Amino acid sequence: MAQISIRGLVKKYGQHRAVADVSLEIEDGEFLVLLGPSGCGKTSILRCIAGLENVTGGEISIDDKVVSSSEFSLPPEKRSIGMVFQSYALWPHKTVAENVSFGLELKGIESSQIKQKVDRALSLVGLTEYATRAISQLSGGQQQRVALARAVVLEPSVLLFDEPLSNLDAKLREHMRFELRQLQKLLGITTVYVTHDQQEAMVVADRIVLLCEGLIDQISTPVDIYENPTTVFGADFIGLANIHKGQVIQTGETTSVQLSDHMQIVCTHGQFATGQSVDVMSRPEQVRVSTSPLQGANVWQGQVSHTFFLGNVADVYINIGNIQVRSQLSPPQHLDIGQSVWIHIPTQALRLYAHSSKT
Amino acid sequence: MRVDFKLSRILWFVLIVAVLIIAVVPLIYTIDAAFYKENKTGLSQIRSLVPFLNVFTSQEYLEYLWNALYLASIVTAISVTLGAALALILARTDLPFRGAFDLLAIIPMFLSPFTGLIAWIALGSVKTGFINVTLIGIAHWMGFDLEPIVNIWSFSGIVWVMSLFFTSLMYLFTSSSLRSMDTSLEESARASGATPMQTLLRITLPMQIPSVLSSALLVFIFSAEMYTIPGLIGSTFGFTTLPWRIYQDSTAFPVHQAHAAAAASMLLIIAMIGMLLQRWFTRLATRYITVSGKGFRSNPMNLGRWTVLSWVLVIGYILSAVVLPIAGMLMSSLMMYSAPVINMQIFTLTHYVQIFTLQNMLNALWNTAWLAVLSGAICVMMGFAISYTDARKPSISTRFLAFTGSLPVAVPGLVYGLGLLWVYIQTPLYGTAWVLLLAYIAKFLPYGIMTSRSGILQLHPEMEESARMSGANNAQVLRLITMPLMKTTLIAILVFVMLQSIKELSASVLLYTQKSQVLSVLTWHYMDAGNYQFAAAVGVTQTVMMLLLVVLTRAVFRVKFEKALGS
Repeated sequence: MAQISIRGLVKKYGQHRAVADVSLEIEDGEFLVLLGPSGCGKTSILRCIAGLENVTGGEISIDDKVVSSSEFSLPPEKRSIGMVFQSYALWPHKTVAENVSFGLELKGIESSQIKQKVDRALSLVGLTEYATRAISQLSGGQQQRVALARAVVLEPSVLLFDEPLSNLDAKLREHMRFELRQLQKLLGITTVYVTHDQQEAMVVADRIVLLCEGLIDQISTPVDIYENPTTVFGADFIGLANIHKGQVIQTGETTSVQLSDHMQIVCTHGQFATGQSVDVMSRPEQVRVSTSPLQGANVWQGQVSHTFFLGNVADVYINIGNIQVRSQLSPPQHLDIGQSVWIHIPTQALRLYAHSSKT
Repeated sequence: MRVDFKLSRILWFVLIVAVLIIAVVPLIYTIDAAFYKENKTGLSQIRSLVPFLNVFTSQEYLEYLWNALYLASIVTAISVTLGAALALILARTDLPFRGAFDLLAIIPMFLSPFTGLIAWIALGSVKTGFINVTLIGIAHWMGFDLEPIVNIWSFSGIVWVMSLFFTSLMYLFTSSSLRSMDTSLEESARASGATPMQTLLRITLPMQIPSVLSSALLVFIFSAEMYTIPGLIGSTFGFTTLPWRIYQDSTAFPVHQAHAAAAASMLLIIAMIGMLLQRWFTRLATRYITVSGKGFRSNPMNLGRWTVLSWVLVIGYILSAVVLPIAGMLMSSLMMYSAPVINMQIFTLTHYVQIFTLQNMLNALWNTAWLAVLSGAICVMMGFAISYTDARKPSISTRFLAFTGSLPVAVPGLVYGLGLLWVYIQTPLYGTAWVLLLAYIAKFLPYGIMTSRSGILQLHPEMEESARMSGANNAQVLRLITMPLMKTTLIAILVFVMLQSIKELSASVLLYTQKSQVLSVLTWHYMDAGNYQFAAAVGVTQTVMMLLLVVLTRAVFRVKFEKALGS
C-alpha cells in the first residue's frame, strides 16, 4: 500500500501550462478523485503519477521515494501502478485471460501461479467464464471489467483510473461506480480517479480534488465540497446553483446584499465590507416555493417563467423583477406558467463570494 | 535505461545518415552533374552552363519534354475515364460477379507494365501478332482477304499498353474512395428527392473529384517519367520522349552525361511540382472522406439499359489487361520464333529449360529473389522505425526524416538510377547487386514510411501505455504489443515492396552489370535484342513469381494489398 505525495507539480506542453502548480497528499488506501472540466489538467496529473508523462517541474513521490521530478522519471513499468484507461486499451490480439496474464508473464512468474492469479482477478470482476473469449466478443461493460482485472492482477500499490466509465451507457455507469467503490475498499489500494462527472465523483470518492485551469480549486469530502464550495467556480461546477451578483449594503450579525431594486437578501455566511461586490449562491433545492403568501426574511413574490417536469423533481424558474431564480421541487409540484408564487431561501443556505470579473 | 537511451540515439543517427546517403545524395549528385563540360566518356573537371542551357532552352529537348507530357496526358485521360467507369460499375451497380471482377481488375497492379508490353508485342505485332494472325486466319477460312488490323509498333500502341496498366491503378484508387464514402450522404440526397441517377451525378461523382484528381496526377507523373515502353516502341519510328533521351544520353556512346543530368533535373522538377499538387489534392480529398461507422451499404444501382455497355467495358478491360496478355505471353514463351503461321513444330520448352539451367539466368533469378526479400525487409524496418518515432515522439529530427524519406516518391526511378550510377561507379560497390538494393530502398522507402504511418495512426496510444502499466519496457511494448497489432500492415508493406522490387526496371537497367542481373533487366535486354520469345519466358517466370507471392500472402496472412495500397 502506498501514499502519494505531489509537491509543486508543473506540466507544460510547449507553451501551454496544463498543470500550473499542484501540491497534494494522498493517504494510504484513499480513494481520491480528480474532478474538473476538460482542460483543467486532471488527466495530466494522473499521467504524471503513472510516469507516462515527464513532469516539467515539482516532484511526485510514492512512499517517500521520488518517482518523478524535472530531472528524473522512473519508467512506468517500474512504479507498481495499475491503470484503467478511458478506451480500456485491451489488446485485440490476445484473449481475455492473455490480456490479464500479460504483466504476470513479463515478471516471469511460473505458469501455475499465473493461472491462479488470473482466475482470482477474473472472478473478482465476475468474468470467470469469459477467460478464453476474444476481446471483440465482449460488451463495453465486460471490456471495462477486463481492464480492471488487468490493472489489479499485479497487486499494484496504486490504482489509476482515467475516466473509466465515460464510454458506458448511463445505467451501467451508475452500477459500475458502485462496484468500483466496493472493489477498491475490498482491496484497499490507494486510488486516484479522474472524471469530469461530479455525480460519479460523489459516489466513489473519499476526497475530491476540484481542479480549474491547472490549479487546485478545493480539496474536500463529497459532502463538504457540495455544501461549502469555496469558490463560485466550485459551486457552479458541482451541483446546480443560482448565482446572482449584488452589492453589500449592511454588515454585522448578518450580511445584507442588494441584488436589484426589488430584491434584497440576507445571509449569515462570509465577512464582507459594505459596498463590496459579491456573488450570492443558493442551491435550487433550497429554494422553497409556495402558492400562498409567506412571511419573514428572504421572501419574495414572483411569477413562474417556465417549468419542466423531470419525474422525481419539478424544475421551476421564477422571475422576481429582472432576476430569475431556479428552484427544484421534490416531490414535484404542478405550477402554471405566469402563476404568482412566493419563494423563500433560508439565510443559512446562502453562500457569498467576493465577485471577480472572471465569472 | 541510460544505455538503452544511448543505443536508440545511435540507431537514430545511423538512420538519418542512411536516409541521407540513399535518398538525397544521388539527387544532389545528379543535379550537380548538369553543370560540367562533357567529354566522350563522362564529365570533365571544367564547370560549364552549356549542357544545362542546351536542355532547358533548345528546341530539341523541349520537344522531347513535350512528347513526354503529351503522351502522359493521353494515357492519363484514358486511364482516368476507364478506371473511374470501372470503379463506378463494380463498386456501385448491380452487375453480376462484381466481386470476382474486382479482383481481376487489380491484377495488372501486381504485374510489371513491361511484361505487359512483351505480351502485347506478341499479341499485336503486324505480321506475327496472335490477334492479326487469328483474325486473318478466320477471314481466310471464310473466304476473303484481310489486312492486319492491330499494330502495337505505333504511338497508339504505346498509349494502349500504358493505359491498360494505369487504368488498374486508377480503378484501385477510385473504388477505394467510393467505398470509403459515407453512404448516408447518398441516402440524404435520396431523402431530399433525388433519383438514383441524380444522386450519382450530383452527389457521388462530385465528391470523388479531389481523390480522382489526386490519383490522376500520380498516373500523369508515372507515365511522364516512364521510358521503357515509349522508348522500346517509339525508337522504331522516331518518337522520343525526354526520359528515353535521358536514357540514351547516359548509356549510348558517346555519352552526354551532363545533358542527361540536366534533363533528369528537368524531369525531377516536373515530378516534384506534380507531387506537391498531388499532396494538395489528397488533403482536399481527405476532407471529403467521411467514413461512416455503421457500415450500411446503400442498395446497388440498377444498371438498366446500361447493362450491355458495362459488360463490354468490364470484360473488354479484363481480356485486354489480364487474360490476353498472360495467355499471349505464355504462348509466345513456348515458341521458337515469331511466325505469321503457327503450327505445332515451332513450340518448344527450350526457353524455360535455359532459364533454369544457364548460369547467368540462375544468377538473375537468385539476385531477383534476395534483392526483393532484403529491400522489402529493410523498407519495412526503416519505414516503421521512422513513422513510429515520428508518431509517438515527434521532434524536428523525426519530421525531417519522415519528410526526407518520403521525398523519393516524387523521384523517377531513372533519376535515381543515374544518380546512384554516377555516385558509385568509382567504388567497389559498382557492378554488384548492392547498388540495385540501394536504388530499391530509396525508391520504395516512401511506401514503408507512409503505409506504416497510417497503420500506427490507427493504433490507440493507450494500447501501448497500458502495456507499460502492466510492466513492459519500451522494447517489450514494441515486440509484444505494437508489432503484433501491426502485423498485417507490416506484411503488406513487405510484400508490396518485394513486388515492386521484382518488377523494378527503370533504375535497374542503368545499374546492372553482367554480374548483377535481375529478371526485369533480362526481359529488357532480350526485348532490346529482339529475342521476344525468350523475353516472354523470363516475363512469365517473373509474373509467376509475383502472382505466387500475392496469392500466398493472401492465403496465409489474409493480407489484402488493395486495402493497404488504396489508403
